[in-house]
Amino acid sequence: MMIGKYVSLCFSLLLLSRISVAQDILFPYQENFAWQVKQIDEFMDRFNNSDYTPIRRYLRDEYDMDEVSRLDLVRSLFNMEKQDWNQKDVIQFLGQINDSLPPPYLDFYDRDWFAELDCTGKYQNQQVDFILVLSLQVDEKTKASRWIINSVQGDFLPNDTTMTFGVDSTYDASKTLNPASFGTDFMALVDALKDTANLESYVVPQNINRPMVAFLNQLHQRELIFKQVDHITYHFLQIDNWIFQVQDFHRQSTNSGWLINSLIAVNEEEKNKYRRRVLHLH
Amino acid sequence: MKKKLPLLTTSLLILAMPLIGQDRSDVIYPLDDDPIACIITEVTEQVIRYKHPENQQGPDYITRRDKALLIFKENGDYLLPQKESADWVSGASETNHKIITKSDEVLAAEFLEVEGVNIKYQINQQTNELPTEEVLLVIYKDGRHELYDSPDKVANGLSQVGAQMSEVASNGGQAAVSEPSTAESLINEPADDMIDLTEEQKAHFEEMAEVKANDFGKYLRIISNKKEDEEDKLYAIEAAVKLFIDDSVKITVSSVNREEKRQFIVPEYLDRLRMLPYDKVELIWMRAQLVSRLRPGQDGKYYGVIAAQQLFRGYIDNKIQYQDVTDKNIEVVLARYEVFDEGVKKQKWDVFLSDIGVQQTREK
Repeated sequence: MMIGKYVSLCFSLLLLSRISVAQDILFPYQENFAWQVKQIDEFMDRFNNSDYTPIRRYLRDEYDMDEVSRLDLVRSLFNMEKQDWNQKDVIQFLGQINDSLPPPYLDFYDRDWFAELDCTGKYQNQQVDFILVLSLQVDEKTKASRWIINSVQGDFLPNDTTMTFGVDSTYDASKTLNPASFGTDFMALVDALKDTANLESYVVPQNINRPMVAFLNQLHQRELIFKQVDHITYHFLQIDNWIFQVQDFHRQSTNSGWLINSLIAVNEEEKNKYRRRVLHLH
Repeated sequence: MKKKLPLLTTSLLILAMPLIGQDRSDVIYPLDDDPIACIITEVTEQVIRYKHPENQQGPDYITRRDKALLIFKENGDYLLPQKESADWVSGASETNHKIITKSDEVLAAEFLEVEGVNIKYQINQQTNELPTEEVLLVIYKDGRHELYDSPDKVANGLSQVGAQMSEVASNGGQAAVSEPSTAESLINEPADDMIDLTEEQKAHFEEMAEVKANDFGKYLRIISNKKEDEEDKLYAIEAAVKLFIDDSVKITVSSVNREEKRQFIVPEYLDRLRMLPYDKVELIWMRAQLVSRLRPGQDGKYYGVIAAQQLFRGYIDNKIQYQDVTDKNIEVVLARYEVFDEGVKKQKWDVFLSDIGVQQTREK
């Protein structure tokens, strides 16, 4: 597709200019690692073409390239191996990013992005799968932030649980998932959800619905043991008229790491529906 | 990291100033290596911990106490680590320079000047002269020290003059110092008490975080290297663990070929690396890079993420048995902690490594 051709051309030009370096055995790994979108906030930095973006530093240091256009960087954030992109949507999206005034940017501290975690646990000694949706909670005064669980979905979680919450309400509110927890794919959840005395400090109190009550009570009673996070999908709703999903692609390629794998054109009403039905937010 | 000072012979010392010890840092004189200019952080019965003088926020380095002959602190205090239950001795006096001679004398001089091969000094307003070849060591009022003989002979001489040094010290009104305490405790503050860091401070600690992550990579190489001495590997493990905010930090290993993720505490992970069943291991650590800048958490600390890549090859009978490329995402924490530095409580910021996610992405 068009995005792929453009980026391939860029890479070819870059590689031609550094043919001697390419003979280095480590070069392909270093090159791929430099292009890999290693973290979700690196994704945001690259999307915004911010000065700190590691790829900009790499291109400057290794290829003397001082200027990189935002459009090129945003193009490099699409999963090139996906075959069924809607070309019209992609072109329209890139046009909006590039031509709008003021240009739209992603904001780490904006509420409208979410991490959807496919998780595995053990419920009454049976392996169970469930989904947690997390978002960043920000103290507007200090900009101090933490990740917090918004919703949970799992077949083993009853919808008719009574809203009786068996968790001790005198929890330690300082127990948090720190703002960089995404860096290790939220591995801190393993210990956090074992900490049954402080479970409430990891959830959004307003979103404690029936599945969440069941989930917390099962954790509290140790009927459910959280094992691991298997996959993560980030949902971005920050750009007007669009929702896109970002997933991690581990492969030996310059197009790897956290990449856009789904792009949906939506109006505001559809966005609200997406929040309710896909992310189970209230 | 060792910043080494040239070990000069007596004749060279006389010809080539400045002399050993004139750099304003602590100095460790090892048994059979060049002196190490450093900042001593702790001396225990087994080890000496120190920091690079130009990276005092950086990692602790460790050397065995029994491998050091003599340690001098910047203020002139010294320790003879080879002596059992030796304590720090106050070497400098506020009122006098000290000349320690090869005949085990301690001369307390009001004035001192090195002129060519002679030291001119004044005691009780009388000027005297002494050839430098008769001198072991000079300790100046301001704590600087100069060696005029090899460190082993100086250490031996200091051992002989122990009592005299104390007498001169008490005459000079200087109390003996005790070993510095490095008791530390991390501070957990709610976000309301958050201390804002300037952009420059944040950038400094981000750089330090990358230094620590790269140091971790160096330790991984030592620990996995089959040619390294086992004892050195154990010290490398100890030093590597010190880079982390605590030893309960976890490393989660995931693989494209395995659904289950495995979790280890850091010492356990390092010990497994030490004992890998290969004849030879090659471990190449690509430069670690901060990919998520430090952001304030709600517990008063700052958090970021460093990404690094590692190439690994394990050989048996000179044939590659296993090789892979792993991506390592290292959480970094910038935290305040309290330290008791010679009895005075101080608050400092330091950056530490924390949880690590290891993704075994591909076998080459």
